[in-house]
Amino acid sequence: MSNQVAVARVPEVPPGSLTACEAAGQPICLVRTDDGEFFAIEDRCSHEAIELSGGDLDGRTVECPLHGSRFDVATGEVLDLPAWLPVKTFPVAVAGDDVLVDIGDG
Amino acid sequence: MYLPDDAVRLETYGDMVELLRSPTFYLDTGYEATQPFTKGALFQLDGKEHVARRRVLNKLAQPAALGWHRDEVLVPLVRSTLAEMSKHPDDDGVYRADLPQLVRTLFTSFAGALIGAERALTPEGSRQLFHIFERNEAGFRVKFVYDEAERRRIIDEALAARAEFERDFFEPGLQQARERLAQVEAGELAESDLPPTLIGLIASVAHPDYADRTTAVNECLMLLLGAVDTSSNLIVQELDLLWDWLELYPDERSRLPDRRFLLKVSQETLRLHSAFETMTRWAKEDFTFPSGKTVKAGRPAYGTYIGANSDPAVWGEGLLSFNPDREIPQAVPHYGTSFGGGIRQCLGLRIVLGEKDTAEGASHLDVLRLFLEAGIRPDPERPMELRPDETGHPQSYPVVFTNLAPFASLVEV
Repeated sequence: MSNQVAVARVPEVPPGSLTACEAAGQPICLVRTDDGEFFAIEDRCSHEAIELSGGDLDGRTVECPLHGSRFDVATGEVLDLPAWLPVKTFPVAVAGDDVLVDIGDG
Repeated sequence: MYLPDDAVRLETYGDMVELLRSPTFYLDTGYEATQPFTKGALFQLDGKEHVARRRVLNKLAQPAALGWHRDEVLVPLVRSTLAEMSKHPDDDGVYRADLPQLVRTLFTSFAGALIGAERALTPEGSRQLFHIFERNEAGFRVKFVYDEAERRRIIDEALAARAEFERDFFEPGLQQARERLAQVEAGELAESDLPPTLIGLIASVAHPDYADRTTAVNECLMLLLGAVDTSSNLIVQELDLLWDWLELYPDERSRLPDRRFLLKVSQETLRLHSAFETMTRWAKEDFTFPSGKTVKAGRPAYGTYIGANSDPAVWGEGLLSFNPDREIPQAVPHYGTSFGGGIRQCLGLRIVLGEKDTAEGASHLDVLRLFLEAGIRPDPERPMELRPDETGHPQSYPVVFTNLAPFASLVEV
């Protein structure tokens, strides 16, 4: 079930950035790649309790700031250890200046 | 006993994971006598300070760095060692070696290269650095020594080892790293050609703490401590388990060229033979573990790695036997708690396991693969001997090499 929540305004999210947001209590790491595309993943590394929004973005890969696990921001797939479980991803849409994240059933 | 009588002993995997992960617990790093050779090192930091410094150190375990150390250091080193060995058979024509000694020499050189102390790549430098490692390791464990005079002696030796390391390894490495940075500055060297080393990070002050000499030297000593024995013990133990496995299941020999099989072997070995015995943390507040056990604020809880890694609820039937194809719940890593957990999880995890699924860059697997190519097998006449201490690590494991000829003509590094 679709449940879109506005989490940010487009002008406030620069390309090549990770932004910590919240959608109905769900911590979201909002990703904007260098080419302007938006992605949303849960803002918690699947390996340890730390925010991925504090990490580094390289292309479509986010690196956890703690142990360096890397995830594909489009699929949530783990690319590098020590994490071995994927992170949850959320569909993103842009409506006007609003960035909307679909958290589904929460 | 180092722990007070009311220390809570944990028996399950779930409890041990909580002990490692929960911010309720902290590591007691304040043992005063060891401060001169541990002060400022990463393991002493907590919270955001730890995360910031660890983030810098992670650069040493990124795929590109692991690949560099494999191609430039470890594989040439193992090949040249096997080539040298091929020149010196025993009188009966058999090529013998003591496996723990052989791998400790190799991984001391590897650790030295990772630190950025190239002197460790020479036989003399490797021997000296290993002697430093031994005294440093004894110093690190000194809180388990109860005789005052013996404790003083160990600390004095650790301090002497630290001074020797700073003079003969750290300082020359730092000078070399600074010269390379100057070459980059002058456009004579590409930044991508800089060796990925800890001293390289220190020379470029990749973290502000590295401007402090004490912190920088102690960080190097901690890396040395972590890098030598873990991989050395792992290779010895996994070959021992692998040989038993192949004797039981000869068809499994066909899987030896498969790196993913060797990775399973490594993880199952790590589960059964963790580098450390126990983990202790102190509670900041009252805490209840998943099993229902409780610890009061200000009191310690501890668990053994083998206890956590052989919890029947997780590991199933035959949990104490070696089975590389063991079925494990998805939420549990095959190696269990053997790399620790929480923010202090061992940096060595990626150095040992390499890249996800493919295990590319897994340093010890490159050594293992070359040893297997060289026909390594246990010496049928002499069994493994364990250290007569609480670690239970291998002290001696006589092996023979039956296929050194392909290595004989290799050019030495």
